[in-house]
Amino acid sequence: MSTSETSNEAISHAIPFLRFLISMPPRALEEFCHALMECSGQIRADVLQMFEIAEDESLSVDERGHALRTIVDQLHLIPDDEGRFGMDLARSEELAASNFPALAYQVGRMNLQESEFADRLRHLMKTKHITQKELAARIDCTQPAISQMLNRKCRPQRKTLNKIATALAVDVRELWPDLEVSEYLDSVAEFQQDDRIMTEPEAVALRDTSQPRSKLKGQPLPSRKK
Amino acid sequence: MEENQETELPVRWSVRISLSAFRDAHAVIPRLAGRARLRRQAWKLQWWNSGDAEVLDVQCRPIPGVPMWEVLVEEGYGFGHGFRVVFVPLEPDGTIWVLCIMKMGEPVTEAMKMIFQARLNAIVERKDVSMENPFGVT
Amino acid sequence: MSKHQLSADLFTEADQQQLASFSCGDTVVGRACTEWIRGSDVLDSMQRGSGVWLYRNSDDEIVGFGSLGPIRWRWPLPDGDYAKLAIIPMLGIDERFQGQPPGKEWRYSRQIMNHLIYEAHVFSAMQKKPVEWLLLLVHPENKPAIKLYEEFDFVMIPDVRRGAANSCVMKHRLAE
Repeated sequence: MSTSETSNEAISHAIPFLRFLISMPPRALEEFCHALMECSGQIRADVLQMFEIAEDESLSVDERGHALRTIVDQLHLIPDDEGRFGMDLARSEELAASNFPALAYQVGRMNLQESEFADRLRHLMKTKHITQKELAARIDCTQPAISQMLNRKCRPQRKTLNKIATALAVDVRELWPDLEVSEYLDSVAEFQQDDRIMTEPEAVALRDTSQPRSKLKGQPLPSRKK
Repeated sequence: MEENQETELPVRWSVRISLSAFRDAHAVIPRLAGRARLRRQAWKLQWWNSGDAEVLDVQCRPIPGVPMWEVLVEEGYGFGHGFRVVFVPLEPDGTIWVLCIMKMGEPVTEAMKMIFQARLNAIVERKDVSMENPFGVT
Repeated sequence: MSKHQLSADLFTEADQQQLASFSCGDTVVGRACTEWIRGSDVLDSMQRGSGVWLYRNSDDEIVGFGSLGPIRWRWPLPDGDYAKLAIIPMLGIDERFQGQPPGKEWRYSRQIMNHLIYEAHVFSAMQKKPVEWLLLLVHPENKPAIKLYEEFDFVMIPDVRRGAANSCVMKHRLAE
């Protein structure tokens, strides 16, 4: 490969990066350049490569998103809350729950679900005279996995719950009473997602103008605060 | 040993997540309750036996062409059919780093492998940097 | 003004502290409603643009909550264009006030539905192109809710079931 080919290639690689720089407001540009200067040669080369991926329209939106998030991490030079790079997975839950009451509620719910499940599983195994080893063999997993579930240290996946329920010949809701609640909340979250392509019956229903418009206009309610 | 005795499984790894993987989780699961449930699945990695194809009740598999692995979480939380948690074990530190969170259907393309490698490069370079050790001297 | 008249105020995260004893009952849907408003799902929904209201009675007790949000779904291919719709992500009434007060005129559930339909019109009027449909998800076994929605001109979309919960979708064609 000739020198000119190499330099042409280098320029073409830098184009997305230059385009990005031009689009930045002056203050952000200054901070960005500062962060880039402090990086090692390896990280700087990686940043350029990530820009190339992020700008490549032939790649998927997902790939380009991952590349952009990589750049943010590469240029984030100050260690995190813990004073280190990255986050401890267990501690991050604790830390976030102490800052966000809604997450604290969620963590409380998960702990309660796991603890109730452990109690129910222990009781069922005892009444059905099944050992951890036997249950593990029946559901095609290891004895330590069962032990951890009983110790409330393993939140079972849905498919594991189904297998355990089958192995113990009980309804899955007997093991995990919140299952249907979670499924209903999952469907509500899914329902509110943008960009979803409608199913054919949904499209037919929403194109159907034979349903007359409602005559109801609703009624406002007074505000207590006002 | 009494067969139904609940023995404590020793923790084998400290599990850490890079900021980019943390942001991936926000992008692929824009729902706090879902991310909290996914975190509990990824948490199981602390008991992973190097090279095993499963940890507790989740499946693991190596990613071809890179020294990385992925955990397959088969729960969607309203946002698909499941998720892949890409990780790399750094043996000398006893630390598993979560590099990326992807949707189950997302393919591991060459571009994705470059992304994983770039994230790993940043981790290797900065994992020992802290407020107390600003130059990461080991 | 009747003593049963509800007031509606926009919900904020800080209001969750007042919901410690709020419960929509022990059914699957009741527990889901309670968890939605007391947990993090309400905040995620607000992040996606939903408005959420808390409804109080004249004694300042929290009777229930309701929500309304926009969604952009795409028509099936080859069209693939976006359709802007309004949805009611979730609504719930504290079990102490369900079916209350006796007599339809001031029934809390009806006041809440009327308010949400009114807000859907306000939302529609703010769009460049008026929104035609208001949708909601309902648990197939929640017969009293289905009956209530039908009284407010919601129609079940046939052959549509969403998620593992097999939830049904109902549609209401907004007045012009």
